[in-house]
Amino acid sequence: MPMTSKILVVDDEPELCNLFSKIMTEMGYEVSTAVGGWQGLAKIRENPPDILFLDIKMPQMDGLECLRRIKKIKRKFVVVVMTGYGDIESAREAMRLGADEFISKPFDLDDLKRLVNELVGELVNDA
Amino acid sequence: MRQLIYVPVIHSEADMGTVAEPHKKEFTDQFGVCVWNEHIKAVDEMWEGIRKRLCKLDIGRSKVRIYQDGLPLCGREMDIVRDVAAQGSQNHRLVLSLVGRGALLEGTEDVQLLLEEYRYIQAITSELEPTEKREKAKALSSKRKLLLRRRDRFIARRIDETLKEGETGILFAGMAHRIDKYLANDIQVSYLIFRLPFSKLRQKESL
Repeated sequence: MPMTSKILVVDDEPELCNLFSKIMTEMGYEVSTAVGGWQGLAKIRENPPDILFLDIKMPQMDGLECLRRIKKIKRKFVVVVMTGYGDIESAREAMRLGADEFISKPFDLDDLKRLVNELVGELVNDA
Repeated sequence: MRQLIYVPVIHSEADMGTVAEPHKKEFTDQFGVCVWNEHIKAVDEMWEGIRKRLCKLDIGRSKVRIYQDGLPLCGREMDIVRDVAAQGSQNHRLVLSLVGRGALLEGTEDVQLLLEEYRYIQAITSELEPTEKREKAKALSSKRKLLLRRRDRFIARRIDETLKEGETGILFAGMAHRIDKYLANDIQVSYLIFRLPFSKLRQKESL
């Protein structure tokens, strides 16, 4: 577990990527973003994160397909799947595909910060 | 129009009544008290988020009925919810708070089916060795799945029979349930998800 946790945000909305990046950088984490599933997978292979935030609804390659491909590689990072819909089928599929957390948009920023700190805390304890 | 707000949840041990204590012991023996506390914290946070989101919904003017997985149709529904809430269940505390604001609590499950599930859980937890527990759970897996679908169909029927035109139902159900699949076509379903800590669920299932 490195000193600064690495967080990767994969979402097709650049605004959301920027927001995540701003907040988590302020929290002291090393954040990178990817717009879309393909770019996300490339970044994961290049520099695996400690925590991955992955949007479900994305064009070309959605979050669930991305998760299927991630499942094939031996990962040691936490996957948080995000959805803008109260989509229970996606939630069940994400659970089956090995996601660690499922959160629903819109986020309250305080809730998001709490979740990130909690996940980082668990990573530190596990290390 | 009949509306149903479906809240998929991950249950905590406090929701489980009599099977809670042995489960907690097994969990802490295997993963330690720290992991147990993290588990409780994540599930508590999920409930807090659900509570906040439910408070924001505009359901004040319609009659609201609460449906809760694991709650038998027996005439003592409120007593059961009070007891489990007193044992620390966030789920049941939220149900109590909604009832306090005027919602009606509905007996949701068939007693016989719940007893059947209870017997399966007992058969698994009564095994002493972890390997034997896993073997027993594996052996009972398909029977439990079938039972879960029978429970789902009963719950869907129960909602259909009690939820009236113009009313809103709130259904709290664990992730393994598929009640929405069996609901009457004229019931408009919306889903409320705040957070689902799957990794915590997996740790529990691995016992």
